[in-house]
Amino acid sequence: MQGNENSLKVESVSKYYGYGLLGLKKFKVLDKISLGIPLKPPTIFAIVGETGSGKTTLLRIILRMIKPDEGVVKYKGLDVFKLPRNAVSWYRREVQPIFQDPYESFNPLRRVDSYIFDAAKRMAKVDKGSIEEYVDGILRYVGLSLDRVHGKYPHEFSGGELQRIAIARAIAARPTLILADEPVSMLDASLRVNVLNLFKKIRDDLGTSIIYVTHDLATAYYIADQIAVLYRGSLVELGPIDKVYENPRHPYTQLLLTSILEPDPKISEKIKPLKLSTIELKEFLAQGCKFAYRCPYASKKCFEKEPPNVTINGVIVKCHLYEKS
Amino acid sequence: MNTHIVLSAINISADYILDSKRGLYLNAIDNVSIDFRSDEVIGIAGESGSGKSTLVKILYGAAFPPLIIRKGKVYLFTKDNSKIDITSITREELRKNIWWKHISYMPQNAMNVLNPVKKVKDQFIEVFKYHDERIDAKETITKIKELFMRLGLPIEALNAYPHQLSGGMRQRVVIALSLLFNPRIVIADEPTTAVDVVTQLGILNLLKDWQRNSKTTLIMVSHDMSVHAYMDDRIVVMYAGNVVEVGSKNDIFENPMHPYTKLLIASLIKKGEKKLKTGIAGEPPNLLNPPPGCRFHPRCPFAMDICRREAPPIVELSDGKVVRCWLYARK
Repeated sequence: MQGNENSLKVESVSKYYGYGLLGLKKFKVLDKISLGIPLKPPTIFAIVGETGSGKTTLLRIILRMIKPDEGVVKYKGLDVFKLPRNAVSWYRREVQPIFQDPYESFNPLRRVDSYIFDAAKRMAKVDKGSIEEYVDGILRYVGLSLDRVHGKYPHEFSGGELQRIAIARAIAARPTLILADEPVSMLDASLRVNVLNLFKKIRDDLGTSIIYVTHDLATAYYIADQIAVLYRGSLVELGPIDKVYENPRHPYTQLLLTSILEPDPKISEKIKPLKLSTIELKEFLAQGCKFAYRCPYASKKCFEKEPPNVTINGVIVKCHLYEKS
Repeated sequence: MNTHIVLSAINISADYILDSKRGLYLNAIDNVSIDFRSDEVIGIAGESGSGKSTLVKILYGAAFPPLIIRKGKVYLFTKDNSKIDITSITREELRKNIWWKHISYMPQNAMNVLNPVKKVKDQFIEVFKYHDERIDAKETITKIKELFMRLGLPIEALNAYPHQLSGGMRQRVVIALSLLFNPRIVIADEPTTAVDVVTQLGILNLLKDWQRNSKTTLIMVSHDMSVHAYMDDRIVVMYAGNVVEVGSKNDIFENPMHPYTKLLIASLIKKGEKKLKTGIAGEPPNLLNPPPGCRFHPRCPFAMDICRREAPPIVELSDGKVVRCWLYARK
């Protein structure tokens, strides 16, 4: 059932959403996205973008929740949307999600430990005799224990604890890939680091790759190995995080990096003010580069022609500036 | 420095009533005293549930049941040096004379407070009417246009309905509304939590420029320490309903005194850092049944015997620094 390749490949995936009267007019939420996430060696892959950049749509496509209008997603060499029937549950076990708001991802009327028991029983196929030991082990791994969780409902936990239970549920299924959609944005600063450290531990101990979707570049740099920057549905920069961070090439990545606020009292001297944009839908519909309206280097070509993907030093940049003439 | 106190909170304690028959109260604010000075940006920092929003509600005079003030006073000092106790005057008086003219408040989720079926222009006119400002429609429009120019908002936004504007634009419209009568104190409750990083920076700059030009008091409430690092002159750190530390921005970030502030600052991830950091172990306490003594002691690495028994004293150090901890008591 398994293919030979040990990676998840997203190949020129596009997705359209309708808008206007009856949704007859369409705009591209995702525009020919291609990226590959290696499963061996395990990698933390950060997808960074603002609201409306299409990062959640991309995640949902990988999760097989919505179908792309163009392109394919290949997991270990198999097309995710053309899996044989018995392989669907296999894929559902291999790829596990963690969502942004832990209070919304659990049913408020269901005991939280039952989620982990279900995952252990149905997905990891743990025997009845050793299931309690298995669940306790997993809860201890995330810093809790079965005694503390047993028989309790979601409202009895704080956000940080519940997010750790959501992570425990994901790893109870023994996945090879975890998709985490803004997993720490709802948590307080003092608890955020603990959850991020847990992701690092999962990568190193369990050998699980993680897709970390976020708008926060500082935490992305803290845990990730690779980074993809999305802007209005197109992938503008992709590469190893150190290279992108030290030498951002796309003007949008540069803007993003200079406008992050830091917990550093000297920050106000470092950052210079900028103009705010007033256009939004217009950018999605743009013919050429979607960033052209805000780009300081924009030329006439940028408004008319879609920029090419240029590979420089292992980093892919979608920009006319780096085109070889 | 020619600054004076404009707003002063003295020994405030406040509870949320959960069930008065069974005597269930949630102690949201415990013995808080802060002075706010003119011409400064003062930040209120703390995690969710630490009482930041409750505190500013009390400062604004909007403490309505289930929130009740147990103890303490909030004094507002007006231009002609009279002293008004905000906690004891009626709502009608607050509405007519205090709100918007002396203090204005931008609530959390400010982008969703606009009336969805009214044009932005009409919302402004309504505010003028509400405050009994008798000026004709033409004058109103010129006044709004002036304000929009100052805040860098496009004039076309006046004729738009709220849903036609982006989140960042709506946020700026609300900021424009709250600055309409040139208040001397502005409270911004999490002004940038729901917007993008690029928009966030723009909005913060807007607020900062306005504060610097008009020399007013801006109270910034945020859980995000990087917002405080960018904006504030002074920072108030709250934990579980207590003010644990007050100090200048540089003191809080570079020389924190209280163990909670120390651990919080150490857990923050700066841009371009990969070094392993540690968070604070444990969880914030349940305020229905707060731990005895210092509320931070179950998570505090320096906890002593006395911390478990008695509430720590408020220790005033040099340069206006205040810390609430037994470590600094009795030299």
